[in-house]
Amino acid sequence: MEGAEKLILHYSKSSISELALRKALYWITDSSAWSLNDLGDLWEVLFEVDDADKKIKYKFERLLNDYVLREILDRHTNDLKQAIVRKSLKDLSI
Amino acid sequence: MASYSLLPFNFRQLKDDSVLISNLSNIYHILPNQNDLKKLINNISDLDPESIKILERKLFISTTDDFEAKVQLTTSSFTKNIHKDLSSPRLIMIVPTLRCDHHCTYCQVSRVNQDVDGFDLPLSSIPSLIDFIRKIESPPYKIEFQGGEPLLAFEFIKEFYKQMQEAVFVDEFSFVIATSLSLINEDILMWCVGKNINFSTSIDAGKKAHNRHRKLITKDSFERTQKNIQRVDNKLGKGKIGTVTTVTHDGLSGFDELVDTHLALGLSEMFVRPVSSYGFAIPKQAKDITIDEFMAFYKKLIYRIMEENKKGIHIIEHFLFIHFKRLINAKDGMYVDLMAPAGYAKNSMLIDYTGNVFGSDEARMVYRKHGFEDLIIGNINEKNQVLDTTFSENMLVNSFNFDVPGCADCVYQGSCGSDPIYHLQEFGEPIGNKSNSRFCQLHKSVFDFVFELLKDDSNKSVMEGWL
Repeated sequence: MEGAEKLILHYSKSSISELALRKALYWITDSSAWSLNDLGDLWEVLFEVDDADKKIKYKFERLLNDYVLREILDRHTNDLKQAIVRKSLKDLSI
Repeated sequence: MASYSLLPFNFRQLKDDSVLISNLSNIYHILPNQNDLKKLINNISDLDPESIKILERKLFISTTDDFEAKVQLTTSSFTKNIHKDLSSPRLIMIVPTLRCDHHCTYCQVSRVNQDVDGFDLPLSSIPSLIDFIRKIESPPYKIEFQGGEPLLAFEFIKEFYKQMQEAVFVDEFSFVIATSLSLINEDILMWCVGKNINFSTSIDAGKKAHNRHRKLITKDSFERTQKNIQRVDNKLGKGKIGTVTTVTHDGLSGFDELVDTHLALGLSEMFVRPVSSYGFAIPKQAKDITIDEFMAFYKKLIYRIMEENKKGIHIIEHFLFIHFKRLINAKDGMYVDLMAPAGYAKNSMLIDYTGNVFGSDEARMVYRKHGFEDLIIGNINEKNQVLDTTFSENMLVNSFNFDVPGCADCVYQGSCGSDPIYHLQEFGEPIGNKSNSRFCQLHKSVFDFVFELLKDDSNKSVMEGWL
């Protein structure tokens, strides 16, 4: 990307899961090229951003924050959700 | 104090920092801020008692005592909502001709000139067509003629009506003719008198945008449409015409003119959507406007419509209305694009001028452009009219949006669809990448906008009045 700057962010593996990072990055695809690198105890997220686009960090961290919350929510409710969906599909004979 | 458990839900932050949450029953609730969301997820008892009561009533949380009952209620509503999308009636679309007198810049089907041979369904195919319709659907049959310009094949429509009347009771079918109205004449109008026939026509946002994109050799498509709407009204009475508006870049400032045109013509219903990228529209117009630009236009349009309604002038915009109905689980909130599993094939079927059968209008557009043979489900002229639904079933299996990446954690999951045909065209497979899907961006924006409108009770009253 011509005129692009590199934005590098680091996250501790003990506080942020790979899945939360990947889910947040999914919604960034349209805004920026990115890569996710494994640095042992850390995840490194690298964005190539246009000079004008300074909001990418804010957007990404907001998404990431939501996915971390969703992970907590899923720990409480995911099994129940799957059971409800399975029961419904069975009732509908799909 | 009672001990509470969470039931499954999704969430989305809105622009004013409030947080919208929804559950498998497709019930929505707005939390005032992110802090309340954190309290809800991490420690429910930190929420104020009134909020707890509401969240319990709306099936977001439950006490241990009635956990079982609330789970059963959720399961039952979830099943009911899927069943509603599975069992709603199917629209049958017929393309009697691909010929057209217009040459629209955003045409999705690559119409052909009106004097060209070989692009019409022959009259001899009508018996097979009626057999096919009766085989795949039960009455009342909702039949829509698409084009090209269907009025160029008026003899076909007349003959089809006659034979349909012989095959089933006359009150068991209705027609909509999707037409520019430019070719309507006294003979056609006389024939329509007393029949269950309506018209769907196009009025774009402003005369300039309309005539620039809906090209007629006489360069007066807009004027003709207006004149012919009045002719239809005079002959057949009001309420026989619905309009569709395709918003292009040239129409972005035409929101007031669009409403004024409808009011001047006494039209009380409209359907407004951005130019679509299906089929042959891609190179011409697809990226003509961004969804943000469309939404800026659309919000001005809708606020004007709200004002008119508050003044006592009844005018409905159906694109907004259908999103509202999907959010409140209205009984008749069926819209093929917003169904999960998708409406493709199960809620719509199209027979084109060759007799080929497609699962939707969009599927024939994608087939015309890309020649993707799997989209042809069958052909009405083939012996036994056997349908090959293998591909369609695969599309539908991949369209339950609780299971689709990008939709699975979306707050609008229970109201939206996943439109496999759109994503097949854009991404080469039925799921696609929702992060750069115009479909996803458009519908999320409209749903967000509905909640923005609902903050004002007077807007809520207007939309409830449309029900």
